[in-house]
Parts: sequence; C-alpha cells; structure tokens
Amino acid sequence: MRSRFLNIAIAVSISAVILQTTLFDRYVDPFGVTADFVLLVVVVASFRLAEEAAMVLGFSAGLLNDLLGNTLLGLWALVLTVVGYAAVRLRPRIEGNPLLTLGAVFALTLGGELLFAVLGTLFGQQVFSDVNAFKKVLLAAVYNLILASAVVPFFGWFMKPESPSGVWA
Amino acid sequence: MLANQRFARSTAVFLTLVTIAFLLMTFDVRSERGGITGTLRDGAHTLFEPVQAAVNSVVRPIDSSIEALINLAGLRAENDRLRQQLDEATRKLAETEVIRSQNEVLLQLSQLDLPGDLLEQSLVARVQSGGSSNFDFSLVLNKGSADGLAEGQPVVNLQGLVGRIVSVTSSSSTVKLLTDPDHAVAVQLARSGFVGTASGRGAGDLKFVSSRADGPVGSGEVAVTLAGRYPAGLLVGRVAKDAAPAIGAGVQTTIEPAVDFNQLDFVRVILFLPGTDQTPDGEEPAPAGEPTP
Repeated sequence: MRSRFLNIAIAVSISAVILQTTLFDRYVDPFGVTADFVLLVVVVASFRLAEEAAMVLGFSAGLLNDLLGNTLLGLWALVLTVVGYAAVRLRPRIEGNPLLTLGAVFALTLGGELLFAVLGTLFGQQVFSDVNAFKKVLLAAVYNLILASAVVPFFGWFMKPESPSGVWA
Repeated sequence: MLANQRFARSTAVFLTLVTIAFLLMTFDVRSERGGITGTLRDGAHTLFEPVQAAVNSVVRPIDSSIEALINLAGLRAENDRLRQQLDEATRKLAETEVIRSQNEVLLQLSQLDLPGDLLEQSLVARVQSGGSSNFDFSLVLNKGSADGLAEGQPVVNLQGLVGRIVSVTSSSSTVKLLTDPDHAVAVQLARSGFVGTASGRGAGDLKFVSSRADGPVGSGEVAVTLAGRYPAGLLVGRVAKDAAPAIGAGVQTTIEPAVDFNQLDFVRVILFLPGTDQTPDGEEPAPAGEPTP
C-alpha cells in the first residue's frame, strides 16, 4: 500500500513535468509567467509521503525537469530535493489546516524559486540577469497557490497521510 | 532512539541526493553540456518526445477553441438570439481556423524573404514544447540531426530571428531564444551602420551595446545580424529608445525583438554552419539584402 503512494506520486510527477513543458509553458502563461507545476506537485505529494520518499520524489522529478528543459543538469533536482525535505518538515505544523497548507505551498514555491535563482546564478545560469526575475518568482508562487486549491484535494483523495514511520519504514 | 535512527537515515539520504545533484551540475558545467549529460538529455528528449507531441495535439485545438470563444465574448450581448448557432459555428470555425492559419504560416514560411540563398538551405520545423521553467528560455523543435539540423544553426520565423540551436537529438532539437540572458548576438544598425551586441534580458527588449558608436542612435532603427555566428542580414528587431554616445562608453540602448516569442508554432531552421559564413554544402551565402519583413 505504501509503495503504491510513491508510485502514484512518481507517475503524477512525470505527468507534471510533461504538462509543464507543453501545456503550461506554451499555453497557460498569464502575464508571461507560468505556474511551477512540478514544484507544486512535489510539495503537495511530500505532505503525504515520508521524508526519504519525498526527497527521492523531488530529486527524480527535478532531474526529469532538467533533462527535458535546458537548465543545468541537477539544478532542479537539488532544488526539489530541498523543497521535498522542507515540505515533510513543515507537515506536522500545517496538518489539518487548509489555510496553513496553502500558505506553506506559497512559501515553499517562493523559497524553491529563489533557491533555483541563487544556485543557478552561482553555476553561471544568469538567472538574475532576467529583468523579470522577481516578478516571475512571485507570480509563480501566486499561481501555485491558486492551483494548490485543486491539487491538494486531488492528492488527499488518492493518498491518505503517511504514518510517522513513513513509506519506507 | 528510533527517532534518532530515522533522522540519521533521512539526513543521510538528503546529503546523498544533494551531493549527487551538485556532482551532476559540476559535471554538466565542465563538460559544457556534452558528454554523458548530453547523452542523458538526448535520451530523455527521444523518450518523451512522442508523449509531448501527443499532449500538444490534444491541448492545441482546445487552446485555439478557447481563444476563439473568448474573442467572441464581446459580440454575444447583441447577438443573443443567435448564440446557439454562433457557438456551433465558432466551434467548427475554431477547428478549421487552426488548420487554415497553420497552412498560411507554412505557406509564408516557404516564401520567407531571407538574404542570399538561405531559403533553399533551410527547412520548416514545428515547436514541440517549451522551456521547463520561467528561467528556461528554450524551445524544442520536432526535427533533429536526421533532418540535417546541427548545433549553432539559426532559427527564424516570419517576423525575424528567433534564436539558435544548442542541442540536437536524432528527432528533436533545442533552441536557445534571443531573450535568454546567456545569449548575445552581433548586430548592425541598418541606418547608422553602428555595430554592437544585442543580449537577452529574460523578457522584453534586448540590451544593445556598441562601444565603437560615435553618434546618436534613433528609435525605430532596424538591427540585423552580422556575419559570424549567424548569417548576415537576419532581422533582430528595432531600436526602442533614442540614445547618444557617452564618453568612453559608446552607445547603450534597447532593441525591441521583431519576434513575438509567445506566438511561436512553426519556424524555419537555416542549415548554416556558424563562423564559416557557409551553408553545409559549401555555398557562400550572397551578401545581405533587405532585412526580413
């Protein structure tokens, strides 16, 4: 049953990466900015998974995102690993409170995007040379907040919260 | 005790994954995105290309229908009694409109006014997918090395220069857009003749710097590519703001790109070898003519 949760999470993450590179990047970009759907899926799935599973999910989804995009290989993998870990750490504080859950999605998206921008710049990706860098970071967090109201119940329906022992315990 | 063990194990997993990610990044930087990391990317593109194409084929008509319906929203009030008929007609129209506009673009692309004989040395490709995030300024085309595409080849559309190919698989290729902050192109202003570089800023206008310019630059002046990485004479954009030379710094202003990067569907890839000023079969392109309209 537990590995089923991880399988669902991985399948949804792969779908998220495909949707990010097709639907979101090409058609759904109000004000020229898209939601960071992959990051959103990793955050919401991590609210339901154990620590190790959340980190592996973040790493895998990030790596696929790097492979299908034109970013440095490992950059999104690193960011989403950290985001998955942070989401699991936040879970006890937000569990059962929808407002806090949405707030956590917003904060983790903001943090993830900023971490991507900082690490990307350190590795020569020129992220902060983008004149709209801060607008993109902020709007992506807002879009993820809006999408979370649909994605959180979706994951809630598929996956009940893990026991403290976690998926791999 | 058990909690400590779990914490130690999760910390170990975390540190391992972070280390792997750092190693991958370092390796990717050092190999300049070639080698094993390039092979991995090629494999992933080849593997997921059919899925992305399938998703696109589903999403594209829906998007076109939604756009068509949104555009008609203003007329609905005065055509209320015809709404049902109109909706029906709109749905049908949206379906045929997509095909018609694609045919129109393809026809125009086949008659594109490119300098010299570049049109003969080029082929049409379709945009398969976009970048993976807001900071990824790339597009994936549905043609690759099997069709003769190679790294460095310029990509244009009806409006002007789109970017250049940075990686190729047998069936797809990745294009770095002009707006990428990591991308710069040597340009010449058609009226004043000043040369300089136009570099991406993520969005909006390109930054133009000409250290050798000794006179003013007027807005609306056309900027075209210089021979080198690109063939000469491809339209890049128009100067957006007037600028005067500063002592010791030349001229700095912005260029509004000719291309609308949000409306890219079909593009034309010029089979041009960067730096050689030659097309792959060895023919010399003719001198630059008028910029692409």
